[in-house]
Amino acid sequence: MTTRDNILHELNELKSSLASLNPGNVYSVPAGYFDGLADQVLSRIKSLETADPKEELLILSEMLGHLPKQMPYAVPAGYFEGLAERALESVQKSNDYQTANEELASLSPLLSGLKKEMPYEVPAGYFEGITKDITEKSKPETKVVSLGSRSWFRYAAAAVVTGVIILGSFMIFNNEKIDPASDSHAWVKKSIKKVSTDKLEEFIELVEDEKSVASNSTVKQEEIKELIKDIPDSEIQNFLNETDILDGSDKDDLLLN
Amino acid sequence: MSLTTTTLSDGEMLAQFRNPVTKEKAYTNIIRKYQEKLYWHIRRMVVDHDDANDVLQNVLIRVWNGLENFREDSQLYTWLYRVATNECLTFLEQQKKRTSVSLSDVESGLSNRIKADSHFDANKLEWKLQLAIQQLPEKQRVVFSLRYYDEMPYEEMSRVLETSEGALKASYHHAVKKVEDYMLNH
Repeated sequence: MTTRDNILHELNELKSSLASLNPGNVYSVPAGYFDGLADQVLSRIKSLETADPKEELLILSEMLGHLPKQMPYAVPAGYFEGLAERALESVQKSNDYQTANEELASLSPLLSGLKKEMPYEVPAGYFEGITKDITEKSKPETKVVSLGSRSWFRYAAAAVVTGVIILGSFMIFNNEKIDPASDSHAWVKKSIKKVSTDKLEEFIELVEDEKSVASNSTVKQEEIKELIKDIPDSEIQNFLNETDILDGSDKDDLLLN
Repeated sequence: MSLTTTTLSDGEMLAQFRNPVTKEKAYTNIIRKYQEKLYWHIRRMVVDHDDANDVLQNVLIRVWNGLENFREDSQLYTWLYRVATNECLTFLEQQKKRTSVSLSDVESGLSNRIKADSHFDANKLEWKLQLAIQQLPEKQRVVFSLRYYDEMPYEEMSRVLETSEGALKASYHHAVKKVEDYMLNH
């Protein structure tokens, strides 16, 4: 019994459909393939053994081995002559032409040669402790309890604000205006308080011919009153108009009067 | 068309490149030394001169940016070829995406470009060879080009393409057979 018969018998016992198939080959082989196979493999082995590319090519293909290798393509006249310079220009125009250090070296060799170490000292242990500090500071904040949730507090806050507004209004509107024409002395007395000490000194020096104020000493308000008691109210009134204090710019003084 | 090239070795030019004072001079010397080799390597891949010029410009800018970090564990020209090859493959990939066509259509597009060349002559073997090369898959085309035209050792090619020498040899042998068959049958 041949091997094939044994296999067929085995397939039949297994009741396999393969037993009924014709074991023919469905693939085709190029004509003459096997005729030149041995020579082909041998030439390939020889080509692998040689390191010379020319010899290798001759072994693999005599036709190609004898073919001239010049390229049939044309190159524009003068293409290679300026290629290096054109490439350098492209590089110079690109952002990667110089590194920061190269740029500095070309701009200022002096600065380029300096060491970049910082001269400042850092307290010992500073960087070790900084992480800890930041960690502590970034701890979750304590819970904020909204005061607005208590209604009685809201009413109390509203009452306080109202009181402040009323008091302020009272103080503003209760502050009687004094007519400078009818009661000039009271008007002057009130207005003079708004003028700075330096301005008053200047005025007194300008008006008084005989009396003079010590330039190096600080003049108190009481002394000023003593000095200006002999100056006519009209003069003082004109002075006050010139110094432009009547626009109510100093409101703090007005409220505290 | 060869210009006056420097007599400095690659190592000397690299040392000059790393010196800020002589960097630009070294760069132009390196370009002058390798420009034609790089150009033709690219041109064989992309066919058209304008495309080759664009790719070459990109390569040279990459050289400027990357040469500082070149570790000299391979030859300079190996590294240059690697940059150029990667740029070519990227360019061809982008072309494929731009036109939304399959790679085989890109290859037939390149064949059409060859035929559109004003100097094209179908009867001349060198033109037929270019058409045959364009039938090869991209990477196999690179292998064929590097070995056939530049006669690059497999060891160097392995560094350029980051592929084993054995795979490269097999690829080249297959490529030679395909090219020969094309030329005999067309």
